[in-house]
Amino acid sequence: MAKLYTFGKSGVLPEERKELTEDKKIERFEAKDLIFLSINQHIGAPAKSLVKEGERVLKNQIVASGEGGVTSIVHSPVSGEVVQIKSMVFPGEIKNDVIVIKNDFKNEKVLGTEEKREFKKDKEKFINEIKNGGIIGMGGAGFPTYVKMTPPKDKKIDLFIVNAAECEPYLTNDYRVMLEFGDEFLSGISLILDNLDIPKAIVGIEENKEHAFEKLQKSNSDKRIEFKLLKTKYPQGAEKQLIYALTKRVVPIRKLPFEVGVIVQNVSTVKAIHDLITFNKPLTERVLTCSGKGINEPKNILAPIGVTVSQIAEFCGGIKDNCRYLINGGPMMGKPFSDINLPITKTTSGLLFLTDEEVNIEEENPCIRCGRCLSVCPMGLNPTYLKEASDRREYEKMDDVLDCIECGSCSFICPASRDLASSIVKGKQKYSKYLKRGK
Amino acid sequence: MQENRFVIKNAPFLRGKEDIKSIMWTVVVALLPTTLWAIYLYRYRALTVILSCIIFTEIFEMIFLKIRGVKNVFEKAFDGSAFITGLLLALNLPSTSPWWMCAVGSFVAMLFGKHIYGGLGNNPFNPALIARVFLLLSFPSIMTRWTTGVNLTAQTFATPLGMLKTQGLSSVSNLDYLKLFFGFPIEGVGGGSIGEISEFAILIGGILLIFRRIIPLIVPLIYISTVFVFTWIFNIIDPTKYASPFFHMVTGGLFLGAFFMATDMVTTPITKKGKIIFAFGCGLITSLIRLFGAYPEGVSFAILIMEAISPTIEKFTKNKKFGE
Ligand code: SF4
Ligand code: SF4
Repeated sequence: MAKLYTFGKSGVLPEERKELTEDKKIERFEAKDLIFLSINQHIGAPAKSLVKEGERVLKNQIVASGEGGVTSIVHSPVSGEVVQIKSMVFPGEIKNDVIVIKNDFKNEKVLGTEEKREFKKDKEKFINEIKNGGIIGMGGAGFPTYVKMTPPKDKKIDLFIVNAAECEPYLTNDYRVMLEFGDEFLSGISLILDNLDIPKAIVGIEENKEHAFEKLQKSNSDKRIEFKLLKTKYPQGAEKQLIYALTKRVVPIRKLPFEVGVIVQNVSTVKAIHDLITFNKPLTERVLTCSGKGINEPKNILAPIGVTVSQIAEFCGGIKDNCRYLINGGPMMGKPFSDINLPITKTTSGLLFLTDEEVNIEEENPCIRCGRCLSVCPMGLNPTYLKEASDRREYEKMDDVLDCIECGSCSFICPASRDLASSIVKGKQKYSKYLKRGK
Repeated sequence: MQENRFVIKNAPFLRGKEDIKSIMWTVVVALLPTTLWAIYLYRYRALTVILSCIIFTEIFEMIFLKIRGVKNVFEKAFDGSAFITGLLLALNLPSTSPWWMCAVGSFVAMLFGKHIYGGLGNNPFNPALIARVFLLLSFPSIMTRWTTGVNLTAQTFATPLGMLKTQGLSSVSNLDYLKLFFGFPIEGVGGGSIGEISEFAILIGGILLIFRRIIPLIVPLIYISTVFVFTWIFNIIDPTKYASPFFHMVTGGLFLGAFFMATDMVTTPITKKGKIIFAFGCGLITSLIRLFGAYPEGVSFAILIMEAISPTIEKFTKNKKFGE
């Protein structure tokens, strides 16, 4: 048994429930007649639509692009006609413009080759390609990858970490990518090391994916890549916790990983970088896990970005009558969807169709001060205190909300069923606005 | 097609299994060895005290919940918290306590110990302790009428700590510590409150709570070792005047307080460092009262005093953030 790495005593142990899909091969889902592309799939400034209604677009053509330091680009996954640009409401009452494209099924494309292309080592070009390829963190947060790869000049990066923890229950998409696209994944890592001049990479994989760990280790020939098994614990894949678990380096409070010489990317992102660099394919599709007891046939799916939940649900045998929750992402940090006509985005790692049997959110009770939320908080915060301060907008007590990584461990453990994490996340928004207003 | 059939709730959608009820009822189970031993020793008297306290506490709990306009009164009243208060109060009373005094205690515990502050989670002091101290001050003679276990006659005796305080060290020098630890009655010696007789029984329950991660080991450990070390120091200084630390371990309410009251989640600091300071303070004050105070026993007062400064302790013992 290999040594297990972990981030310390905090964190929680939710039921994994990965057995629903972990042995299901990735199935390709072809785009249907309509594609819905949100212009705001990433963190940072939203992109702006570059196309007009009635315009014809080709597959892989850029349809939206942003300006400014942190933003991203959206490509069309199909060829066809832009039929509408409309506003849709995403979870959290966020309104985004969505470009609706009618698929002509001709698959006429601008970029992308079937043959491998040679990419000569060139840092600037590499990062630029990643920017133009629309690549963002596909683990859930959606931070533009090119920004992560351009640390300030004075920071020397000596380690690349691949986040293969996949600590969210239900999700098996990263696991399947590592199993089925192992070579592409490994070559993605090598490309990143080559082009960014990083001497070493560590792939951190949770113990429950040991199969992938062994398989990758066997097929890997790049000496710079090391594999480490992580203890199965939530949130093992939280960036700062992962870095600590694998290297014992502590990212200082409110600082980014490059502060300790590290860049972290998720499995699917690495694979997307491989596809982009090797086949000149921008990010227009992703692997996601469609799971839960509320869907007839749970699956891992390779789907074009912009297909709708209802199309995917149909592909998975339809939604069962007892399905009561629809979640975009994992069950710990995912967002609740109410509308099955919403599209998946680049950050949709999973679509969960859950029943009452699986979701056990009780009514909130008063805090009994048991201290459990404090002991599980991976950031060392006092969630019950922060929730109360947040609910009451007591700004002078709220500063710590900015350190919350929104992992939800506190709400998970609370015996009084208090919605700690969601209050704190809301508190974070309130407090940030308050700070911007200038106290 | 049906739309909006989905429930919107906040992440995380998975929640742990432990809830208030499971925690509270586990504490009740942990108090069972002590309770059963009390009933075995004091028969119907203990039973009367225990039943009166629990029944009246539950009744007052329901009444005050109703007055406060809380929904699901019945469910809330049996979340286990009031049951614990009733049981703990009973275990802190002499076997000779009349039922009406139990009723008064239950009333005080529920009103002045709990609901006046807004109910579970908001009370600064342990309700059972508030009630006990109230009864001690209001009915001092009843509250110090100790009998010797099996001896169910009205004859009363001083407890070992009482003997030590009033008659000096020589009066307790022949006591069998092992008997005291296991809680076997000793002829002519008052047993004390019905729940504090057997340290052994308390320990069994305490260990259960530690293993179930409901109380942290650190609190009883520090509380009890502080008393041990403190009384030991004085025992070394003057062994003719001060009792052995082992004597202090096996007498009075130290174990009951350390395992079941100084660990009360609601009224003690929430941070680990805070808990350590709290437990140390309890040990220190308990020792001071036992050695130099007017009362023979100081556990209740020590815990109440520390509870009073618990919010302050908490403020100064913030956890270190990750990366700080
Ligand atoms: S876990 Fe819940 S009950 Fe316990 S201290 Fe935190 S908020 Fe209070
Ligand atoms: S306070 Fe934030 S970081 Fe801490 S456990 Fe809760 S959600 Fe996670």
